[in-house]
Amino acid sequence: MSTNRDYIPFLIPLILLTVFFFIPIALMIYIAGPRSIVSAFMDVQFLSSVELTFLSATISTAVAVLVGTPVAYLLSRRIIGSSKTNLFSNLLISPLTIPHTVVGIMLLILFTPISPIHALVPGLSLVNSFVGLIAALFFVSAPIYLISMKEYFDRMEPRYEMIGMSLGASPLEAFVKIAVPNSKRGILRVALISWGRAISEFGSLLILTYFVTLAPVFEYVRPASVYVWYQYEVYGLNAVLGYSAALLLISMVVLVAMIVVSYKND
Amino acid sequence: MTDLRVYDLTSRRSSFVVGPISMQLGRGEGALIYGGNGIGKTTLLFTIAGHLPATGGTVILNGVDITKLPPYRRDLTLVPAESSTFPNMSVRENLGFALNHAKERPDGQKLIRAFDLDALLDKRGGAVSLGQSKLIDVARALMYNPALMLLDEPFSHLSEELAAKVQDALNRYRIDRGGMLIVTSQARINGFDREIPLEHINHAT
Repeated sequence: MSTNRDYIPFLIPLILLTVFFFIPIALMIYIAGPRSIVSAFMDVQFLSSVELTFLSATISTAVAVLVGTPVAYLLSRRIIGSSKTNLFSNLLISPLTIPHTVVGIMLLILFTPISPIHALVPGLSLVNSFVGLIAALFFVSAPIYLISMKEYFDRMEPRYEMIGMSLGASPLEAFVKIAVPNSKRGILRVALISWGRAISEFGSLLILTYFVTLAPVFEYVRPASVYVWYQYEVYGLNAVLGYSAALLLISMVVLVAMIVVSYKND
Repeated sequence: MTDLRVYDLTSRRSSFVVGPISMQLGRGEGALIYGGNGIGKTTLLFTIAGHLPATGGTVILNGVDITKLPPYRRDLTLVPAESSTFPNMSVRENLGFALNHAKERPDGQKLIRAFDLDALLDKRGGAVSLGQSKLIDVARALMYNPALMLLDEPFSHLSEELAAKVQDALNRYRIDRGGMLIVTSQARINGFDREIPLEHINHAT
């Protein structure tokens, strides 16, 4: 590959960034070694944790797509006016600044007796429940979906929807039949980023869903990140290396595979 | 038959201000508004179509004040200068989209034949040439068959032969159904009732 020398100032940070991210990843896998990685993959409890994490992250991302796409579109097209658009845009991404342990505590107390809304839904609890897990993942990943999707719509010309409306379509019809199909690629890629964020969540889950029971599928199953932390706390570094490397491999392979598939469908 | 009255219409696109503009289009009349680039032809069309809010003035179509109505309730359509064939739909679906919203359905097959679109029907909207796209956009607007048709440079990217076909179809529409307002930077296109230089109806001081 021939590259113009003038671009060396850009290439150096590219190499530095790649090294910074991939040396720890490669070393993790190298130090863990194939034996401990294989034994992690044979651990039924660990696999159940991974299954729980992937399932809940997928559901949370699907909800983010369903709810977040129309909101991102509404904000991007400034339908509610500039000042309200700015207000809601900032409000809806502000959860990103909340430390995830605090997110866990907020959701923990949401439906407990100390909360005023407890009386409205007395039977509901997010603690150690599948719904709680999805709620926590949604809280930390949906704002990323929303802001990225808004930026995607900002870059997409409104011409087609506009002409759709000029041919008699309502705003909803123009959105469903024109804007969404024309941004399928963007929705998929932004959803993958949001999904990746959900998969990697730890802080809020440690507090809210230390384990999850959803009979008959999951019984006292820890989310994968909590499972790795638990192994580290109870059995020490050596015990956790295999699980860490295995989780790292699964997450990266799945994410990269999905990105490749999304590009192939272009 | 269509009757369009525009009174003291003003509009703006960012810091570009147009108007006040006053004009009338009688029943079944077609008018060609022409002028150089950057004098507000497109802004005028977009404002009449409802894609830009009017900052002043009134637009009355067939006796109804449409100045504040959303584009989909104005009984008019706009064919922009840029290609606007929906890329996610086939050409057939593009035409069907308009036909499904038509209040008075035209003969779709006749239009397809008039525009020689048979061979293109199964192509994706994003896979047609610029000239074909222009043809599809005009055919789609005719499928919608509204009371008023607004066209921005409808003959650009078209060969002479195709431009003649489009002009024929537009004239038939005008005689059978509604009014037509075309803006163009080309000074003369034949077959219109009136040719109006934009500066004659733009009363900006």
